[in-house]
Amino acid sequence: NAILKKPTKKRKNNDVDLEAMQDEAISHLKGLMKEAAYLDIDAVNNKKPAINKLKLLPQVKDTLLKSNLYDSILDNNLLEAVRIWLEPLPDASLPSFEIQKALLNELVKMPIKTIHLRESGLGKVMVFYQKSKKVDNSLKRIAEKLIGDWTRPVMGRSDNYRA
Amino acid sequence: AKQTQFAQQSKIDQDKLDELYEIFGDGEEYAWALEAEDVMDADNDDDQDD
Repeated sequence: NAILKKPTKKRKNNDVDLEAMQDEAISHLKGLMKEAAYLDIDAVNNKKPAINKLKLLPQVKDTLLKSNLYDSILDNNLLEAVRIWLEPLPDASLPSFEIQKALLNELVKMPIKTIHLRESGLGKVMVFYQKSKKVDNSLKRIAEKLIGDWTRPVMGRSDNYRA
Repeated sequence: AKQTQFAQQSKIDQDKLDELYEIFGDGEEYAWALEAEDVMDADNDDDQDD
């Protein structure tokens, strides 16, 4: 029995290690994303081209499309950095279409819960995308879908207390 | 009893409403950017008039 148990325990440890490594990678990326966003804000303020987010975008995309990382992404509030990336810049311009499209397309697939929205503020920026005249219609539709997806669990809650 | 039920119902609705405000905000967060868009639009219209 003891012999049989050993490999299980070892695998469990590896799982924990893997989780810790994923968490670390995600929080590292979160730091990079925030830094790029603030550099872009500075660039806009100094009337220089804002390209820092765009340079980091391939790495962000690679991470967001890995569904095995969703737990780590949500637990480590990477969505806060996503919210900052989507926000309008000081001159009221939006991040590049590439960024908007890549982020919104990945958000649709994620199992985002109310708590993640509360922590990240992502819902607020999505309402802005729904309202803004500068957002492409294809992305507005995604923003609307996300708002619907995120509203439903709140409205549905405790509705079936009679059942 | 009916009144209690109504009060209970509206309490639930108020809770839901509060939660929605918490998630989606009251629309003030990015109002400055939306206002700036309107100003830019107005400027563009002026340009076209010239």
